Amino acid sequence: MIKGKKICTLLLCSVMSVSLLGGCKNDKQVSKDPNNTGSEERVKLTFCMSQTGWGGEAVDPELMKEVERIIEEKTNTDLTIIAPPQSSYNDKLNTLLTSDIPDIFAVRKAMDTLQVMAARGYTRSMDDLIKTAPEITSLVDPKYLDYLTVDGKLHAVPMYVPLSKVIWLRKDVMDECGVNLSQTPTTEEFYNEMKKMVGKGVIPFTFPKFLDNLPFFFNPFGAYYGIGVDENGKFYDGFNTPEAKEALSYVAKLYAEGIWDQEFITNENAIIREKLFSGKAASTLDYFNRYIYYINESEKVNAGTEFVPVYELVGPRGDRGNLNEAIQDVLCISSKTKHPEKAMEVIKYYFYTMEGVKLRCLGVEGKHFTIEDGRIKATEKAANSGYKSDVNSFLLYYPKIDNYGFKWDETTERLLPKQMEYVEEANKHLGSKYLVPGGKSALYDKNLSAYKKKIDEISSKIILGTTTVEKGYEEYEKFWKSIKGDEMLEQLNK
Amino acid sequence: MKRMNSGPVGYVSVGRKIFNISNAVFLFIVSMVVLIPLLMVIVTSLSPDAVVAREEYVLIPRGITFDNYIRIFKSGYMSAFINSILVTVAATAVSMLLTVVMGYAMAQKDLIGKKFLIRFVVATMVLDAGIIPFYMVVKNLGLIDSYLALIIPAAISTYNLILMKNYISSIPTSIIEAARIDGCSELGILFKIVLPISIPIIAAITLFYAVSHWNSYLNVVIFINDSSKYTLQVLLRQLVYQSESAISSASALNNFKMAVMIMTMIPVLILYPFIQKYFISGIMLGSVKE
Amino acid sequence: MSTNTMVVAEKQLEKQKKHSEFFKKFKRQRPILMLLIPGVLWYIIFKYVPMLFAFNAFTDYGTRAEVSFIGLENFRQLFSSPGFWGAFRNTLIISFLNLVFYFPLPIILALLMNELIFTKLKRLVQFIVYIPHFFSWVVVGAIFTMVLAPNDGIVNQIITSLGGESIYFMADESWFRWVLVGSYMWRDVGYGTIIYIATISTIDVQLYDAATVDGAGYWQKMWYITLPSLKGTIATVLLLTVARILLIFEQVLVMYIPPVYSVSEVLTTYSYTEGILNGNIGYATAVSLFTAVISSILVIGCNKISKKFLGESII
Repeated sequence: MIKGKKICTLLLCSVMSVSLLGGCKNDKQVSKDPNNTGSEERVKLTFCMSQTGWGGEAVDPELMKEVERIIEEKTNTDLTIIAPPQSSYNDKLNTLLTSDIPDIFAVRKAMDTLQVMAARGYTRSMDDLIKTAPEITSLVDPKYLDYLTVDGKLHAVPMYVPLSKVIWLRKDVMDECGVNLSQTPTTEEFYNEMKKMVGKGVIPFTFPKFLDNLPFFFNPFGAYYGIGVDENGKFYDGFNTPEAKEALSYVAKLYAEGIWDQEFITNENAIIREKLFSGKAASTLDYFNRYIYYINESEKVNAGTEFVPVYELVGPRGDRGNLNEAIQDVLCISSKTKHPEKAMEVIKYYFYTMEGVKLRCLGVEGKHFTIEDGRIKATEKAANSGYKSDVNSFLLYYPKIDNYGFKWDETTERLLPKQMEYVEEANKHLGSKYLVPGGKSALYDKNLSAYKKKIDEISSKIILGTTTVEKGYEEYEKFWKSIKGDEMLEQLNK
Repeated sequence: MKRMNSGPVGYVSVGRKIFNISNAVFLFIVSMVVLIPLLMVIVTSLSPDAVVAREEYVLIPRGITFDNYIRIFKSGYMSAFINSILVTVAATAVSMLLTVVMGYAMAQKDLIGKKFLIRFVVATMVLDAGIIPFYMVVKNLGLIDSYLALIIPAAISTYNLILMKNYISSIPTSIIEAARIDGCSELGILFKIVLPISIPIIAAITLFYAVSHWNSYLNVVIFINDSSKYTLQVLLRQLVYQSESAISSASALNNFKMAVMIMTMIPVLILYPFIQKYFISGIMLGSVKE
Repeated sequence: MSTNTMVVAEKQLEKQKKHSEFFKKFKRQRPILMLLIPGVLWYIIFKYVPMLFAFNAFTDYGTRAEVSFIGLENFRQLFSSPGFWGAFRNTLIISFLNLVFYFPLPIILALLMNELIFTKLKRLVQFIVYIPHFFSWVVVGAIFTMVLAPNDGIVNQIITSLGGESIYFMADESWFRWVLVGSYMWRDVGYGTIIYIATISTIDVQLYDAATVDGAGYWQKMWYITLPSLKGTIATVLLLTVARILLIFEQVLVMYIPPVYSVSEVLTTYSYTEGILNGNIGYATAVSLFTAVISSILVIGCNKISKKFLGESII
């Protein structure tokens, strides 16, 4: 009996000490701002966005708190920031949404998931809020706001300008192999010129494992990688068309003849970039604002060279267009929020004002960076926690910065005009992008991920050469039947 | 030291010699298969940027630099490191307490409801209801954003529990009966007899729990909202995968990623040799008085 | 008539005896039963209460704002979906491969390590062999991708130098399952030996000494002493492995790529990509429920088999 008591006390003690431990950590965070005596009730909002969105991508919690403080001051709010790591962002967000929808939250791959979010009742319509948001409406092309409407109502605002990708080439390899490419070559020209780089100890063209980058090669053939919209406004299966087969055959040829990276299907994004700036590869597909990035990175690893963009390929029938990712990352407001106007104010401040964008891209002066000799320099703390002060990131946002308040490093200052030129030019060559509404066809909603996986699977097998176009499409057609694809299109076209 | 693999003193047959040598060679090969990738990780983490950008992984060193490790130390990760240690120690302690006690109870030969209890426990292994209901339970207990959410919900692993129970039930009943006859209480048996004999399994399972708690990542992301409470795994994984993001202009070459990996592994690797001795040498059961 | 009353009286006496025996047992075991309380409570709160969520397999939870009961609709959808059957088939095949090829390895390795005469080396080998367990699947995936790369990977370099053609293992439907099994072996074999080593370390040395005196050789000692004492542990680990084996998830999610979807999509990844990521949580729960049923059948089967061969059931 005495032993029993001993056990119980032991158990109790450990539970108590453990909860003290847990409690200890909790208390530390309560007193945030000693100056805020709470004289005026600040609106409390929760804001969920990936860990790297809080000041130059620094992930140090203290630095993040600094940014939080500024936003709170400027919008007169009391924010609780939830910043999950990028690689698990969706898991965390989906879990949060089932119980406490954050007042403001970022959604990724919005073109696919926004419809689902709205259908599940997580997002709040922003039609009323957008009326009093000239910061947003004056900058954003209404066409892109259309992408974010569900049932005619706006449910999100974009975080970035529409993003597109172009091909970046290393000048040194081009010169060495006598490659001469215009900025918008035909598919034939591309093939012929790139062929000159085969067998020269460099990968002519590398590509990531993510096949949703294929549209860059589908657009020139007038094909669409997914469910598209035809001239009559009707939905059709872009993948099962003669044009798509042509596009895949073209890419398969590039692969078979050694132009396309033989290991592309296991390339992460970071790897294709490394391959390009280290000189292992001669070209790759990447975002339009990467000019200065590649120049800098290649210098750092002693493989410096000039980089040249190819904006799009032009196909046999004159079709063209680069990889248009349109709007992928957006911000939504919770359908259950008590303070929608304040939430919108925070969004407007952080993404649609010059000041807010500077805060997001650079952090707080004195904490994230200092200005020495008129040039920006990262603090040690920031530099060691992933901080990047980069002019490229500014190019992603709507507000255009006219005066940074400092000069960038020499290389950047020198190259900035060219970078801007490339960005503007890329925007003139956007490929097509269609939005399929959710909630219209039960079959579509149910089968969308299976469909995407299947077109990726068939495309990859055709490109790798493990199956032929005929056999691959035979398999695809079997799949289409099994998900009642024709019926699905009918439902969408009602 | 076990002497089971030496015959009568002095004499070792030829066949046995051949076996010993081939065994040693085989184990050497196995160790190499394991060690070489590890060596590659270490060497890569010490290689300069220019080399790593071209070659991704480096086996034969081409220049050594500690820059990446210095970068990790200088950053705010020491606090996350301490968070990890606190949580791991507390969680392992709670886990072991619950597991040993419950395992002992379940190992009683004639326990009332024993069969039902074992099935009750094992049945939980087959259904994975997903993170959402789990999250809801933890939320309703008010544990979100507290370290208790990392300690208590993950306290018991059925796998470890059954192994514990299995081991304890294999202790010869004669010893336990003898203690009982001597007038020892049930709990006394636990402390004075069972625990000392179970040191190998306790060491092994402590190791299992420590490793699992230390490596815990998804639980931290889901249950903790406050970034300053993040453990090492979370903070470092973000750094490593930053360069994967489409938008980010950060770049993390392999040398940095590998340095991060080594840093996350070192504490548990250091722990292992200390625990290993407990389940290698074991206890001379024969020396326990009958 | 007296015999009847005697029988009845006997029966009553027996009953009373059983009752008092039971109470005696209960009294003796009371402190032990108290020890069980925190654990059982834990299981109820953190395992069984979340399991109640499984009833969502019969609703359309997650697809719309309100949740409504849809009966067996999710299951109908499941069984008519070729993706599901493919995932089911892959799960069974990969699990089977893991059981046959991975499961015996830690046992063999533990026995071999035990026979190593250089005892200092024994500890070192154990330490080394267990390190890969610490590499997360993402890193293991990256390492294997590199080692198996078609052009620069070590394996293919060996193959081509022997005159063969290089194989893109990670993208090859006929090889990918082996990549999964192989990487699982590489990562977890060392870790798996720990439990067997711990069990071996408790074998009474006197047994070996007695066997030596009786003239037993090394193999006989291993066969008649070491292995039998591992029997219980092996059976238990087997059962526990079988219980979880259909739940293979992270390894596949991290390592699989489009060309090999058809041979490596497993139930968990299927449920994750087409259920959870799609928002269709009810559907995902239906998959989990189905998997649980199959796992239960396997566990019960395994238990019955071990009862037959070992004489005692594990659960």
